[in-house]
Amino acid sequence: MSKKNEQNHMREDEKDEKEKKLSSMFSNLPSEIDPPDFIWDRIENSIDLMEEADRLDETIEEEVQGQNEIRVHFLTGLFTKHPYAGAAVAALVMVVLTFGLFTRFYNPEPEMVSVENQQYEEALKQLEEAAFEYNNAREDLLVLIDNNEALLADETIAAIKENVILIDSAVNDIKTALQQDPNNQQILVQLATIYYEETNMLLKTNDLLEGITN
Amino acid sequence: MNRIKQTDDTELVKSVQKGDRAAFKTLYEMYAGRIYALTIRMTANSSAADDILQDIFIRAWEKVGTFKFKSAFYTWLHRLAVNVIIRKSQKLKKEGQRESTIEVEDMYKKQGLKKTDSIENRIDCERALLNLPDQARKIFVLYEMEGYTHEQIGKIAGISIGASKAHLSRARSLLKKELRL
Repeated sequence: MSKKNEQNHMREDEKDEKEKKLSSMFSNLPSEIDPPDFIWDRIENSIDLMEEADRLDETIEEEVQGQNEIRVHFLTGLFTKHPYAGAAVAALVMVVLTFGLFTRFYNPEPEMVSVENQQYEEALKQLEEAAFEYNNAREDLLVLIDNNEALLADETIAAIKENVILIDSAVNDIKTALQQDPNNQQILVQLATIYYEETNMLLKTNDLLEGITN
Repeated sequence: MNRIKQTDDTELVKSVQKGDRAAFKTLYEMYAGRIYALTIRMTANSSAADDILQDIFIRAWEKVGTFKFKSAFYTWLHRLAVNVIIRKSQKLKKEGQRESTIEVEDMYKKQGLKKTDSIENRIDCERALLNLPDQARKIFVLYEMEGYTHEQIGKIAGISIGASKAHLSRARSLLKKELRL
């Protein structure tokens, strides 16, 4: 070994030793430092205030709900005090709405979208696949946010949810355009492309959040 | 502070999820010391550390319902704490709040630690750490003392892996100089 190489090795060893010593010095620091006693009192006071605010919210909510129930009974002609009447009507409305949305999207009426050629059929198939992937990625992301709400900054959650709403709105705009011009293959491809791009974006966000929350 | 085994915290957390304040106080007593040490070292600002510790535990109380027992409770609390510390520090920096000094010697005295050579060395380390530039200090604490990877730090702090490595290297070099290694 040349003298220069030997010197370099010695320097590297010395450097490693210094790094080890530094790590060891910091690993000896106390892992706990007692906080001032007043902090717990301040935490308790804040929790008291939050609970007081929650109670107030609940009272207001109950009052508003009471008024809504009267409105629902009036609208449906159910002049009864049955506690499930409002919920049943709401559930029925939800089923009708959901069914309407699904059938509109997944089963376009034959007279609206006429399959003219194989290319169009292919594009439609791609669109369905893209929509499926998009809905899965969207659902996964929202579940991830809900499950890890505590670990994410409020601003991050708000920004992601806002973006999801924006994407949904862009998708809806194109879907409306497609309904108005169902045989327009260009719009169909455009919608599928948007789905794929947005799905990629959602998956990337998902990966990023998983890195933070794991 | 009460020292209760970490394995006991599952039942406590379940009670807290049902709104049991006494159980929450026990969890606070179990973990506040560790979280406060992290907060003090990452912020280098005693009054900010007090406020941030308070925010961490209030947020934990608010969000404990979302804890699904997939990890240890302390791991969840620690992640939540790091998240709050980074966000609050960025806010303080934007507001231009000056850092309040930390008297490490007084802090150690309050912990009941007697002055010995080994304590002197620890005080020197704490002082050197608190004197580091803000970002370098945070990354050194997370990587060297809390065991985070550069990838995790990058994601939490919103910086690249390379930037995290560069800050760590700078921190180490400054600390070696300050501690005459």
